[in-house]
Amino acid sequence: MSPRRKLDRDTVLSGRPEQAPAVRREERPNGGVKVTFRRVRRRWLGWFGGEGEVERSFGLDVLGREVYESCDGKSDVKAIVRKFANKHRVSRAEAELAVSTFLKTMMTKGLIVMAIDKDRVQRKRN
Amino acid sequence: MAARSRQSCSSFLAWAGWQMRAPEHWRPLRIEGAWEKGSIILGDEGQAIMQVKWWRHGKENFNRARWARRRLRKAGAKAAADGRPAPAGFENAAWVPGRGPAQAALWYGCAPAARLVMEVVVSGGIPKKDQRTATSRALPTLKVSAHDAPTRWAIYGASFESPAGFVLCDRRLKLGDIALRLSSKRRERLVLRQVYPSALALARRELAKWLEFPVFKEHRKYRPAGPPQKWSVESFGRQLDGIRRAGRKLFPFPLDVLAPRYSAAAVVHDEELGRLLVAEYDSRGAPDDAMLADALASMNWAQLESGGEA
Repeated sequence: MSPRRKLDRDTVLSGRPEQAPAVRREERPNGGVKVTFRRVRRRWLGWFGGEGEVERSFGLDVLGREVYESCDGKSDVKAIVRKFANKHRVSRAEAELAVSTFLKTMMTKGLIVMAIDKDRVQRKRN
Repeated sequence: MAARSRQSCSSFLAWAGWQMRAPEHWRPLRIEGAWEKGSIILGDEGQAIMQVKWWRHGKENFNRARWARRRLRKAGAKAAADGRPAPAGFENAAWVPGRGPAQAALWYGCAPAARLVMEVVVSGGIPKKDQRTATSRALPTLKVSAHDAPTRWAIYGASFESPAGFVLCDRRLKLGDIALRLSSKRRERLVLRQVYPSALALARRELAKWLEFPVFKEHRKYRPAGPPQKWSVESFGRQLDGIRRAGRKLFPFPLDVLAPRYSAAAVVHDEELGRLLVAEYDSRGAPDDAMLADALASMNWAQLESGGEA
């Protein structure tokens, strides 16, 4: 197995996040959204009689929704950061930190997937 | 109305009496120390690029030349005669370029006006583009505020100005909620705070409520002298409206008669920048509204002042 290597900032910023297919979306009164999607359970949980797939829901507030909805598979992280910074009039460094941390959390939860240019990663490593 | 600075490739970083311009995507990765001595590591999302260290000697007869000689001896290097960054206002400066691609470059300098000694370390082993930016663009913009002049602060997207004689005691730097606590030798305390985006902040808590919860822990409890009143302040040619309250801060019973402090606090809404600006001043004497007004009026100088220059 190849060792995990950390991606550099430019590569991460050029990544294109895309929403994982959701089962349903419910509007929340605070302007946020509740997203429900199906997730494959860990195999060992099946040994104890657990179902293979379960539904998981995540509530996003207004800002979270805005970033989540920007994950359309076309915009790269850099564009999402720029849009967020301009809309909320915050510094680019602050927007980059907030958006990248939030994207990382959404990736961990399985709400989004990130498409990274493989050739770019190879070029950087060489 | 003051001319607005256009979106440029540089942003301000001002802390503990010094300030410099840095590329927009750089941010403080680690802040250590306080007013007298400390360091800030600057970098971007992927790497640390430079470290700025400062130290206040506090003496009028500080031997700067001897200090510079000792510092160079300790680093075991010789200062370069040419090609060194030359920030204004520094004396006995020395520049030690990195000996190899992975070797850090060092810069030392004394700023007599601020009684400040500074050391900047530019990382080795980072892309040359970043090294060049640090040494030829960021470092030459380094400057200091005189020790008896107001001090400017700029961190992330928030900027403040504190009156002369106030030093940093505590800080809380969270994205969207930046607060500094300063104190003076006359036992005055000043809390400067910005909360943003204001639309989100006001959706969570109404304007007056932002004054009710102290950012920094205190032993004294607040006793209002009356209901909060509408208040406004002039800032860079704009009128910012908000609320002001006054009262006393007392120790819990039965110690409430001991050393009461008089407090005045105000919160205003800057709709143009989408921020809530909060200032709280407390002292042993009567509350000073002028201090509050000045603190609020000078907030966000980095965005609103022409070029952000002092």
